[in-house]
Amino acid sequence: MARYEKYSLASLITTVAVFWYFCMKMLDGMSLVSQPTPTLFKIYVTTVILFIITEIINALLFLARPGLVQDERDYMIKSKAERNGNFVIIAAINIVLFIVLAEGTFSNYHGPTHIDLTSPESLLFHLLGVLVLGTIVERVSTLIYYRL
Amino acid sequence: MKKPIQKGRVLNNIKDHRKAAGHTQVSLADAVGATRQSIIAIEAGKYAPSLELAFRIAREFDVDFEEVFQFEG
Repeated sequence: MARYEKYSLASLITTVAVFWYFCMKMLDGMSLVSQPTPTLFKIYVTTVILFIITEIINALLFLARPGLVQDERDYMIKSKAERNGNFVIIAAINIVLFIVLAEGTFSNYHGPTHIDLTSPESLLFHLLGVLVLGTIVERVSTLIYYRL
Repeated sequence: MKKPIQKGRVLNNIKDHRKAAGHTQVSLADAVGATRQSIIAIEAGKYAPSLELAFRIAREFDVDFEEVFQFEG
């Protein structure tokens, strides 16, 4: 297994773990918990710091090696995986926007889910969720492309 | 009307040339500036290298390009 594969796997696991922590703080079952904004700010900052710390540890463990080379295949895989991640982010943002706007426009609209972006907890959850989803798709794509 | 171009396949016999030249996958990777994983993927036909890397590999074996790489399609 290449170092970049190991890094992607570790990063995937830590990303899911940190997002799991975030969901535990934000959700009660499948519904968002209404919380005061200072509490949400604390959750947001803690989550971002956890993401940064875990990524630094992953990079130190798997990428900080003298003489570690990256060649054209590594760059190609990285580029294709980033493209997939960005595509998913764009698609997810558009889905969220569509649901929010359709709910406001059509009184009889009954979508698969309800999204209220006027509440801070909903905004935080959906935006961070979209970013995490993009990261997960990027890491999974990297692992798949290395195995193909 | 233009004929649709069918997707071809780049074949190679790097493994034979590598063994004949006394290279391991690691030493060949080092010699051409690639990673061992890329050499493994190229030998298995899972990855078609760029022209530059393909020429570097042929040059390392001191043979013509088409002795190492063939195009089927």
